[in-house]
Parts: sequence; C-alpha cells; structure tokens
Amino acid sequence: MNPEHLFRRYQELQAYVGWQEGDGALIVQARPLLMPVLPAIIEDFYDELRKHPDAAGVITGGLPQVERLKRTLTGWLEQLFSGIYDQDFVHRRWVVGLRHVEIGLSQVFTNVAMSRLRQGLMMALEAHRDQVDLPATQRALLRLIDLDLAVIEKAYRAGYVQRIQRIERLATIGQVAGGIAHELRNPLNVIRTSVYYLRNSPRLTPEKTAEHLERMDKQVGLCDVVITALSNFARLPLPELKPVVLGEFFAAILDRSPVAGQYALRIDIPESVPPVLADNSQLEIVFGNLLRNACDAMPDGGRIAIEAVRTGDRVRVTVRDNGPGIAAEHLTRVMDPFFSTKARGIGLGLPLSRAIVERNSGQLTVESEPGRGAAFTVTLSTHQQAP
Amino acid sequence: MSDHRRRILVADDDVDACQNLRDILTDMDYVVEVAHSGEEALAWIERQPFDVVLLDLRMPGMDGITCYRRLRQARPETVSILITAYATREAEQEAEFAGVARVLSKPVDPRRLLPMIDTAVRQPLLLVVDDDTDLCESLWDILRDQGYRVSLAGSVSEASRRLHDRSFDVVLIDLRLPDGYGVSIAQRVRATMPEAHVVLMTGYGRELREIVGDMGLPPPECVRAKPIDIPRLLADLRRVTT
Repeated sequence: MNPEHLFRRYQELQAYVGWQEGDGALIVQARPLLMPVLPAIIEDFYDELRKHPDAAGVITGGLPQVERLKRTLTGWLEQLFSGIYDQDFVHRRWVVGLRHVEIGLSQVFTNVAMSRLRQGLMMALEAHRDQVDLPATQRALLRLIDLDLAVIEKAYRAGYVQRIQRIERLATIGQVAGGIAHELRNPLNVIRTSVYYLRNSPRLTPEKTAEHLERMDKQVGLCDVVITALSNFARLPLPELKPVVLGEFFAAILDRSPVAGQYALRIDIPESVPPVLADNSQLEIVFGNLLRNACDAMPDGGRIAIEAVRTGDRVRVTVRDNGPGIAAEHLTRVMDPFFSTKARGIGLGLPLSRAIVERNSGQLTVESEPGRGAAFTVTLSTHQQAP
Repeated sequence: MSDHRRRILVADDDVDACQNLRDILTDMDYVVEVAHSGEEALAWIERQPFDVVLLDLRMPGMDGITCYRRLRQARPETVSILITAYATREAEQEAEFAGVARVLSKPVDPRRLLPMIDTAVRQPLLLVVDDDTDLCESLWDILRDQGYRVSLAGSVSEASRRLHDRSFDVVLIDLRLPDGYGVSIAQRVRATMPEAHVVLMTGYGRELREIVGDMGLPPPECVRAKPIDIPRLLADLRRVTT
C-alpha cells in the first residue's frame, strides 16, 4: 500500500477512534514519565515470548536477534511517544505488520503483547497521577495504541494474503509444469528415438524411413496440441454469440471427427428444441472435449448419447456415456485445472470447457455414479425469448 | 533352447514409443515384445521369461511401480528399467527404493539406454533355492548389488519351474526344503545344465557333506554351511562366473 494512501486511511481511523487535537501534546508531556518504564516492559515482552512455543519459534537468531529486536521495540515505543504522527510514522507501523508475516509471528501474539504494553503504560501513568491529567492522558494513550494495532493488523492481513497467493501461484505453476512436462516429454521421447533409429539403423529401408518421419511429424503435432490447449486456456477470446442449430451443429462435428466404430452413438434432439445462443467454434471445443472424454472412459467401446431438452428459455444438452463413471472423490475435482485421471491427460479439457461455457452465459455440470456412467450437461440460452 | 537371443519386453501405453524401441532393439538382435498396460506386461511375464523389461511409470490401470513389484514377484531375475516422463526426484527415489535397476527419464536417449541393456543381459543368472524368505530377499539385495541377476525359489517344485523356464549360471540350493531335498535339484541341474555351477547350502554342516557323497552325486563345487559367510560366497561366485 502506498504511504500517502495509508496515511489518509490512518487519519480516517484517528477520526473514528476520537483522536483529539491535544492528544499528541498530552503524550509528549507524559513521555518523561513513560520512558523509564520501557526497559521493564520490553523485558516482560520477551519473557512472555519465550513462554509460548509458537511465538518463540520465530526467534531463530538466538540472543543477538533478541538484542536486535529489543532495540527495534525500544525505537518503536520511543516513536510512539514522539507526538509526531505523520506519514512516515504510519508507514513504519505498517512495516512492523509486514515483518510479522515474514517471520511467521501470529497476529494473535501481537494483540496479546499490545494488551500487556497497554497495562504497563497505564500503571506507569497512575503512579504519577499527580503530574498528569490522568484520564485525558490515559485516553490519548489508549487511542494511540489502538490506532497502532489497527495499522499493524491491516498490514499483517495484507501481507498474509499476499503470501498465501504467492504459495498458491507457485503450487499452480508446479502443477502446470508437471502436466506439461509429462505431455511434452512423451512425444519428445518418440521423436528422439526415431531420430536415433534413422541415424543408426544398419538396415534402413525407404519404407522404414517414411514410417519414422511420419511418426515424428505426428508427434510434433501432439506437442502442438498441448501448447495450443494451454494458450487457448490462457487467452480465451470473447465469444461471438449467434444462433446455433444443435442438430446441424452435431452433424458437422461428427462429420469432421466421427466417433470410432466401437461406440454406439444416439442423438436425441427434438424438433421443438430451439437454436441456442453461443459461439459456434467455441461450442465445438466444448462438445469435442466431452465426446472425447466419453470415448476415453470406455476404451473398449460403449454407448454415448447426446440429448437436448428445452426448459423455459434455456436448453440443456447432455452428453451421456455408460462407462465406469467418476468416483465420488473425483467428482468435485474433474473441472479443476490440471486434474486428470487419464494416463495421458494434461487436465485442461474440462476446465477449458467450463470456462468457455460460462463465457457463453451457460453452465457446465456433471452427474455420475460409479459403475453407471457419467453425464455432462451444458445449459445455454435459447435464441428465442421464452413466450 | 532354439533361440539364444535375449528377450526384451517394452511396456508403454504410447504405441509409437513402443514401436520405436522395437525397431531399435530388433536392429541390435534382441527379441522384442510390446505391452500397452501394466496388466498386459504381467501377462507376458507370466507366459515367458525376459532378460530386460522397460517399464513406463504411468500407464492406464496399474502404474509402473506396482507393475514392477508384481513382476519382481513373478520373475525376480528380470532386470527392470523404469522410464518416466515426470522424472521428479520422488518418483526416482520410490523406484530406487523398490529395487528397480535404473530409472530413465523421457525423452529416452538410446545412447544411454542401450549400454544399460547390454550390461544387464550379460549379468550372470543365479537361482537361489531356499524356503527362508528373509534369507532369499537379503541374498537378492546383496547379489543384485554385485551385478548378478537373481531368481528365487522356495521349494523343490518352484525350483523345477524356474529351471524349466531358463538356464542359470549358478544355482544355490538349500539342502532341506519343505517338499524334499535340495539334492534332487542339484541332480537335475547336473543333468540339464552341465555348465551351471551348484552351491549347496546347509545348516547341518559336516554330516550332510557325507550324505551328498553317499547319494553318488558328483561333488558340488561348494558346500557352504549356514549361516552363509557372505564374503566367501561372493568370492566363490566371482570365481565360477568369470
């Protein structure tokens, strides 16, 4: 957060806790009374710290670190009583919170430590009640400490969120790298061994040469598919929504890439189902994926059904198979990126399909019972408005 | 045996990868069979012995390491080379822990793979016949480390099956087995594999040395008392296999 913005926020908080014009002056006035008790408060702070395993674990640098931290804490307290609560002051408070995230000191400990500090300071003031306007000075000091706590907590939160996001990002990169590595290394493996064969075979025939060149070409294509899938996912273009007549749409898909002979395909799209509003080429990717998944689930063949039903101004298109189904523990994860149960699968088909369907103002849902097949349903808007 | 060529099984669900290894290895005069899943690989292994099995780590159904464990059970003398497209350190460690000979990552470089196969097929073949499973497993580990291929049998009948399947360079036999005496195995080895060396192991020392003589069996190269003196056994093996 930039220091100016932070300072404005601090000023808002000052108003909120009722920070008064003269509060700063009261604290400066009490400063000579408070300074002598600081060493005791700081000692108490570190004694407490040592008693709590979670907090003590933060001290990894031994005594030298504790000495350093004591000096930091002293500086922090001295600045608290300086009476100058400007942008620089607020920024330093903020840095304390960030530092706590860095070293892994829970905010709970900060809250408790601040409570002890508060008590220590209040007692010091009470001991000199004859030298200060006790209620006003105590109120000023409490407000000041509350403000500090607010800034530190806010910084802690911001730092914590950032840290979690960083960890998640790294985990995702790891997953992506793993998935891509596998999917690219397999074709590379074929290419490399073909190159070796072509270079070293003692009885290389023109037929064998052609066979291996063709194989290499095919495998380069597979690498390209992986990279295309990934970049498709990275930048999904805005859909061009146009009416799509489902009967014609599926006839075209199946004409271009028919399902293999071992699958019995049934298409049930009643005349009464109106065209849907979607991007034709994006929808092709979605149903291409769903049909491919259905086939992959039943390598030895099986039944696949494509059914369309109108409900109000929506059309539900279901791709159903009678394969082994999806285990309950996988059902919620099948649409997560890089989740795959296939031996060869990068795990982008369903998440990409879902992203596409959602961009086309639709939903992709799945139902399955192990042993009883799986059904993926794409719900889209109709072209016509409901009567 | 009519065909003395070495036999290699390539197990990978990537059909092209299998085809390429088949082409390369056939050129090197190996007999190559191909499996596209762990189950298929095990079916091959159960039907006949192989010298080397190349196993892809991730295949549909059974994974490579599970497949390896079952393969090791069925034919412990088979040398396995695990091939993986992941090549994470964990996968490698797991494979090494499971006793896989080597782990190679894809894309496989035949210039590395071929010498590994060549080394493996030249390693002497040993059969250890003993009903003490722990001893068998320990000997397997020790001898495997020393560059022997080691098959195991826990009984006379299992030993007969092993001897029927392939010939061995050395056969180590415990004299007392649950279904008979090891002497009968020694006799069979003498009769069918005259070049093979026999090492008899016994917990009964001197007396059995006499029994062996009484039974009219040609004196085995070594009769070793149990507990087995490993350094001495290794020295014996080095002597008879080089």
